[in-house]
Amino acid sequence: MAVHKSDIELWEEILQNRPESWKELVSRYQRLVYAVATRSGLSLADAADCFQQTWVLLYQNRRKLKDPSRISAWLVTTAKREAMRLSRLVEKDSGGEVDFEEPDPSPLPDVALERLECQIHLELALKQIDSRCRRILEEFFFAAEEESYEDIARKLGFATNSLGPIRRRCLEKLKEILISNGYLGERKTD
Amino acid sequence: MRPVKKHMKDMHFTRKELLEMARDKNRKLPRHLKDCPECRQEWELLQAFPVAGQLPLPDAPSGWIEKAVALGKKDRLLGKLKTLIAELTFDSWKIPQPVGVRGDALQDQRRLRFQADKIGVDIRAEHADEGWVFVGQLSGVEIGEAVLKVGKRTVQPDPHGFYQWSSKTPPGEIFLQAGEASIKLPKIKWTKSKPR
Repeated sequence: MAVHKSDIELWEEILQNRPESWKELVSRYQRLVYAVATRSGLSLADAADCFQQTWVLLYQNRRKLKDPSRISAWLVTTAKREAMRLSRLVEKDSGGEVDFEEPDPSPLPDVALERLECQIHLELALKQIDSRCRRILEEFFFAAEEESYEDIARKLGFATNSLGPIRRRCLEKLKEILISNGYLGERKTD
Repeated sequence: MRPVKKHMKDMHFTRKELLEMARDKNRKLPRHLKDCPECRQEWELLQAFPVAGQLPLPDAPSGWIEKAVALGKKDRLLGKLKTLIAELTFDSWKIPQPVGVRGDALQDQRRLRFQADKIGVDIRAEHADEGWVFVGQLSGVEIGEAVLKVGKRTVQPDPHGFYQWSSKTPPGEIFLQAGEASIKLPKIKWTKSKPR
């Protein structure tokens, strides 16, 4: 498995003009920017502009970014602003007429953006963990609410009583990864 | 919502109960959650990542990703060239003139080509009554990515990527500038030495 670099390490390399580090950063967060762009009520063409412009702005401002450990938050905020700017342009072009048949085109509320950001960090951490733990934890987090541990154990082919200890060890590993990625430590969990 | 009570040490919370407690941040936490490190850890992670029932985030279309990745490739080339001086690789005044053409006949036109790594600079100069007219073209950089600094003047490219300017006298120093990188073109003599 390739060595995982923190956002800060990647950022230092990007400032040294290393395209492979930029590529890794884009690949790490493209799903996050894509989610914000496509869930903001924009057309696909505008969502593409929003996606592209977010990366252009990050690249252009790379020497001004103060805290690279908060890069995912920067991307979410910038993508949201771009989505709002594009929405205003669309509204202006249509003469301010609002089509009440269309779904609400306003950008995502902050709570939804926070959830997207935390989801991408969870997904990134799950990519770093071994495949067995990944399978178990993907079920633990993403399975439908009503699915019980028994259902999940059956789906994964484990005995119910053996799933508990394995899940616990996997959660410990995950927690370590999230802390080393600098994500969990900064969040208040209680 | 009904509070969940757990008294027995071995009775852990179900996933549904933990999810409910993780969502309701104002809820008074049951004793078991405080005492049981296993349930506590699960609850903490479910609270930090309220993603249950959601699908993993999908990838952006590959074309969108490629365009974003391409942003990082430009500076690698230009970044290396911060202090580079381009090399003159072609000068039409230095090639032998065709048979039958008089010595100064081609002196009113000049074509120059400079090269710095993968970046090429082509300049065509034409002498008119009022002075010189220049047209420059770059290869190896995208249109609009670089400007030419001709003496104190900054020449921007037109929409087709041509750099056009005129002056009464031939140019002194010319720099190509793209972001923080600049390439200095070697100084060119604009008088032809007379044949012996």
